[in-house]
Amino acid sequence: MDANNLVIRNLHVAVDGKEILKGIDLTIEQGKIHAVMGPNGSGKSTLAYALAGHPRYEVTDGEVWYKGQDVLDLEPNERSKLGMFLAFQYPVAVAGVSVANFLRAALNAHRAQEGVDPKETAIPMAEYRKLIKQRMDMLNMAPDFARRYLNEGFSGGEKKRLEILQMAMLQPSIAILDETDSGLDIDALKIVAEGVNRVKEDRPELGVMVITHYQRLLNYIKPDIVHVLMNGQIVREGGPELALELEDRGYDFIREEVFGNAS
Amino acid sequence: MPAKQQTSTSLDAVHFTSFLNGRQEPSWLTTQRREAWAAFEAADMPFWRRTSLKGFQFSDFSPASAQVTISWDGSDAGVVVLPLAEAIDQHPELVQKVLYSAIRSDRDKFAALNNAFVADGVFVYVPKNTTVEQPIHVQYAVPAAGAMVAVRTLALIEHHSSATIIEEYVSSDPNAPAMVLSGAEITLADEANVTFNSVQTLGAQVYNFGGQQLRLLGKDAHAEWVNLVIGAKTQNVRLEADLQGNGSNIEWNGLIYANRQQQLLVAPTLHHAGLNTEGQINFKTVVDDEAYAVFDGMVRIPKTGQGTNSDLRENALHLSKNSRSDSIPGLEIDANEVKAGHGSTSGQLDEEQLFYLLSRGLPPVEAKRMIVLGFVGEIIDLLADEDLRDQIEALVAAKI
Repeated sequence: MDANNLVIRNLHVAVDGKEILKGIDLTIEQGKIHAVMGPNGSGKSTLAYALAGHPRYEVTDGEVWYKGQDVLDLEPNERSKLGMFLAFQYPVAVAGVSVANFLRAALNAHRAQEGVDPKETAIPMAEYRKLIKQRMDMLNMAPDFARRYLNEGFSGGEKKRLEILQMAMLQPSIAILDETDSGLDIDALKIVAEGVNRVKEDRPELGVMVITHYQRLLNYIKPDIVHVLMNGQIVREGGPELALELEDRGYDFIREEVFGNAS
Repeated sequence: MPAKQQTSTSLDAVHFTSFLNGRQEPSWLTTQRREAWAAFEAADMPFWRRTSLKGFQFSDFSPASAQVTISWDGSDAGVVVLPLAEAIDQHPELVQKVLYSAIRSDRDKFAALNNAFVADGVFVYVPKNTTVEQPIHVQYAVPAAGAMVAVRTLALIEHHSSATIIEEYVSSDPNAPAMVLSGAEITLADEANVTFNSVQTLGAQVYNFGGQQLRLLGKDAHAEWVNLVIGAKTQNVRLEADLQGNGSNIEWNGLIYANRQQQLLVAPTLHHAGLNTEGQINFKTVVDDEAYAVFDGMVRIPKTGQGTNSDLRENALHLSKNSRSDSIPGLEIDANEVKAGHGSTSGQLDEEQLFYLLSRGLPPVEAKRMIVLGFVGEIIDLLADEDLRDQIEALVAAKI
């Protein structure tokens, strides 16, 4: 097993006492793009939140390994420092906290080392300004974006671009994109997808899990492997052609094959 | 110089007589002081439902002078910026127009005492058609343990003029017990404009009793008012914006940040007496540990206040189980053509915000600090002085 792969084994997750994920087995390989597709209510977002460590998502069984660490034992901030990144489907607004200040604090948290004065590891201001400008230029973002409050009054497209900017700044090794396409028109979707591709170009070892309901995002972020999530389990895996087949035929044919005609 | 009576152990007529004998003031002022002292002696201890005076004794305090530091770099023609005593001496007729305009001796025992002893402060006069660009910054420092100081910020802004006034209450010794009788009385003529920042960061053993009023007497007068209440052991301060001038308007923001055993109360009233006046009150409250904060707000629209547009908001954030806050937004409307809204919210730290920040690698303590600073930062950012903003932000960050 390659320690740089994210390995999920028999993951069971409950929300408010109701089991949503019923034994997920999935490996996200270093440098590969994985699409996780599924109909509404199949557990896609639950998978994303559980991997990021949201307290409302209770892991009842299973394990998740990354870089030799039992991910489920780690706090959300420790998972981030380990190199995991979740691009939220619904990014949260935080009034009074500017994008620039927030990203600097996050970057410094990543650079912090135990037993070392944080002032020593903190990114120098000039270097930080240069870095954020370079990343914002890469994502075609206007400079005033950094001064705005985190997601406060942002359009859907702006929110998703901010998620990708955060990814570009924090340089994760595993990125989980939770329905990054939802609520975006085709132009916004192209911009966001291009941002993801640029971050990936910059960092070819990045492993990506693209969670989506629709195939259209996968026209712009090309997956190596497609997994189909249904009723809290991975029921089918295949190459990029599987996504196209789902686009053509919908999810019903898989549902029938896996669960029979009952539903 | 007002008399200091640091050695005496009780606040009695001897103090007052000695105080009065040390001053040579116009007779109207001496009369007011005597009446105020009589009112103080006659009044019972106030009963305040939401401010506990348990353990408070007048005899623990003696009159003293606050250290007043006035900083102003301006030199505009006709503008007066003077310590109160000098202003009384040089411009008694101007001082008389504002002093005692808001704080009434018959309000309660503390207001009476305040009026009897008011000695330190600043007086600002801005003549017609004058824009004072440089902010006028005054700091009141409580000098020593056991001190009672009576302080007032006075300003008279004439027709078509503007000024920025920043007052700061601090303790020289953060652990010294003291009683502060605070006050601000500011009057605006037609088309006058004031930015008033009042920042209270007194020590943890200080009682602060007082009142502040902005009177927008003139038509189309405009005020921006920021109140920051961060220090003191116990505070009971009434605030009033009196929109008498037709078309006058105010943007009024405030913050109460109480932790440990602090009990902090502000009672803002927005009085829409004129025609077509506009006012927004937006206060934020943070309570932590065992602290108790009260926002007792009121919007009054009398019959004369047709065309009023008023809004009152208060949002409270609770950071501990044992902290409390009361929000009492009140509306009294006697005019029929008005727009008036109010609302208050109260809640704990938002779990989703916290998780979002954690998911980016911020440790829990830092994530919490960032969210709280963001919540209060919207108010702190309104302060007219950048150094003061940084200082207050650091002070609040240390409280979290």
